[in-house]
Amino acid sequence: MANDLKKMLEQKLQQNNRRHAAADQSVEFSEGREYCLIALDRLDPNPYQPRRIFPKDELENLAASIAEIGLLEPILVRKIDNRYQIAAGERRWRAHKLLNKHAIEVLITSITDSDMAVFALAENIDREDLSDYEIGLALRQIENIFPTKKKLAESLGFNREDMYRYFSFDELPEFIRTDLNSNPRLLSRSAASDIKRLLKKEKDTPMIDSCLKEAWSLLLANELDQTKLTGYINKKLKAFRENITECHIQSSYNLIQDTKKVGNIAWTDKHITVKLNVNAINAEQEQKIKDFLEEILKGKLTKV
Amino acid sequence: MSDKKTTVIAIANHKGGCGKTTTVINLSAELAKMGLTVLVIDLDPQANASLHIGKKHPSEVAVTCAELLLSEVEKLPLSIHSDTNIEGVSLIYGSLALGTTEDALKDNAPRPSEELRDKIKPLHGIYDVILIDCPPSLKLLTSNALAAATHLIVPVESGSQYGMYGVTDLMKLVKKIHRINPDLELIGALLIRHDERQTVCKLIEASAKDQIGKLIDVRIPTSTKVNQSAIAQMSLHALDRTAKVSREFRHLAELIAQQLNLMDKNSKHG
Repeated sequence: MANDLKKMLEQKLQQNNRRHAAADQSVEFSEGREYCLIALDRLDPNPYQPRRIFPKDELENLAASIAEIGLLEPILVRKIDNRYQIAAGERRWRAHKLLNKHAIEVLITSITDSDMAVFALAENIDREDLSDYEIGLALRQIENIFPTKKKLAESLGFNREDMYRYFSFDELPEFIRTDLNSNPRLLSRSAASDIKRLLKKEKDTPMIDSCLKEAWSLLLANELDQTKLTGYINKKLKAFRENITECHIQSSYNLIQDTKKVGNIAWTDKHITVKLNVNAINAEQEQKIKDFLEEILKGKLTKV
Repeated sequence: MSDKKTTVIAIANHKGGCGKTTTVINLSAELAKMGLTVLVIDLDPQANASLHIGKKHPSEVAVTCAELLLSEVEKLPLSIHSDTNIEGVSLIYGSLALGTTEDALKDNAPRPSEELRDKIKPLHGIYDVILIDCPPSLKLLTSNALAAATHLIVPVESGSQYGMYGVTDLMKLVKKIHRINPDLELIGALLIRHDERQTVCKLIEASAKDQIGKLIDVRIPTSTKVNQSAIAQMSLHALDRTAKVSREFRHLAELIAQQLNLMDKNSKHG
C-alpha cells in the first residue's frame, strides 16, 4: 500500500471516530428521563429523607450484594443547579461510598418538592425498617405541601386516626424526643399517642413530670415495656392521690338536715371547706351566713 | 424535466453486513459518474451510509429520515443535502432516531408502510435514480422502502449460509408488499464478497438464484478497498478506480442503467 494512502487512512480513521464519539446521540431518550453515571460526590441526600439512621451492618450487607451482583436498579435523582438530589436510593448511594466506587448509575427525572417528599416516604413506609417516629417526623415535614390533613393521609394510604397517632410524637417532652432521635425504635405510634393523651389529661398534676421521667428511665433500662408505660404512670398517680387524701384532710363532718345530708365541713392544714346544698337554705339564711362571717372575721365580703 | 422517470431502487436484506451500504454508496457514485442525478435515502438507524458520504454527522442534521417520516411533506426540501462526499449524489440522512420512528409510525400513521412513498412522491421527475439503504431488519422501515421502491436489489454475502437463511423471509415480505406496491420489480440478488475459487461461493450462487429467482450478472469480490473507502469517506471509484472491486461496481451500474433504460430516459430530456 502506498505510504501516503496509509497515512491518509490513519488520519481519516482518527478523525471519523472522534467525530462520532463527540456527537450527541441522545435522541433515543425522552427528555428528563435519562440513565447515566454520576460521580458520588455530586449527589446530595433527599432533604425529606425520613430515615434518621442507616445501620452499619445493613449498609454493609447492601454493599456486599451490590459488589456481588451489581446495582439492580438505578437510583432516582433530580437536578438542582449543578448537583443532583436523591429522590430514591440514598442507602444504595451510601453503599456505593462504602465500596469506594466513583460513580453510580442514576435515572434523572424532574420532580417537585411534594413528589420528593412522597417518594422518600413512600419508598420507606412499607418497609419494616422505618420506625414510627421517623414516619411521624417525615409527616410533619411534608404536611404543609398538602392542602389538608385528609389529602396527606390519602396520598400515603393512611387512615386519619393512624395519621394522628404518628403526629403525637411531637407533643412528647423534649427528653423523650432526644432519646428517640438516637433510637427511634423506643416508642411505637400507639404508645406515643397513649402518652400524649395522658399528658393532656394530667396537665394540672404536678407529679406527672417526675412520674413520666421515672417510667421513661425504666423503659430505657428495659425494665418496663412501652405498652405498659402509661399504665405504670396511672398507677403511680393513683397511689399519690390516695396518699394526699390521707395526709391532708385532718377531719370532716357531714351536715344533716331532717336525716338528709345537705353538705359537709372539712379541715386540712391549709383550708376549712364548707359545702352546702343551695336548696338547704333560703335567701335570708344565706344573708345571715354572710353577716356572720363578716362579724367573726371582722372583715368584709366583696364581690369578685 | 417533470416527465423524467424516476427509478427508486431499494437495497434490502435483513442480514447484517451483507453489503447493502457498500452497494448503495458505490452504485450511486457510478451512476452519478454516468451523468445521472442520484439521491441516496438512508433508512438505517446506524446511518453508516450517511456517515460515509455525508459532510455532516447525522446527529447535527435537523431533518433526517426520522423527522421526514413523522412530519408533513413540507419538510422534504429541508431533508435533502446535495453537498456530499460524492459528486452528483444527494443524501437524505439516516439517524439513530429512526429506531423510535418505527414505533411512532406504527402508532400514529394511517398507513404505516406507505409514509416514505407519500413523502418522496414530489421527487419523482427530479432525480433519475433514488437508492434506498435499508436497515438490517424486516420491520416497518424496510416495508416503507419496499413500498416506495420501483425496483429491488438483494445483496447476498457469497458463501454465507446465514445470508441465505434470511432470504426466504425477505421474499415473503416482498410478496406481501406487492399487495400495496404491485409494480415492485426484483432486479436480482447481488453476490458480494464473491470468490469463484471457493466451493461455498459456488454453492451459494446456485442457491441464491434458486431462492430469489434472479441473479445479477456481476460478482463483487472481497477487497480491502471497501474498508479503506469507508475510512476515507470516498467512493471506491475515487479511492482506486482501477481496483477490481471498483470495476465490478462500474459494471453493475452499467448493467442496471442498460436494463432499466436509465440513460435512454435521461438523454431524451438532456
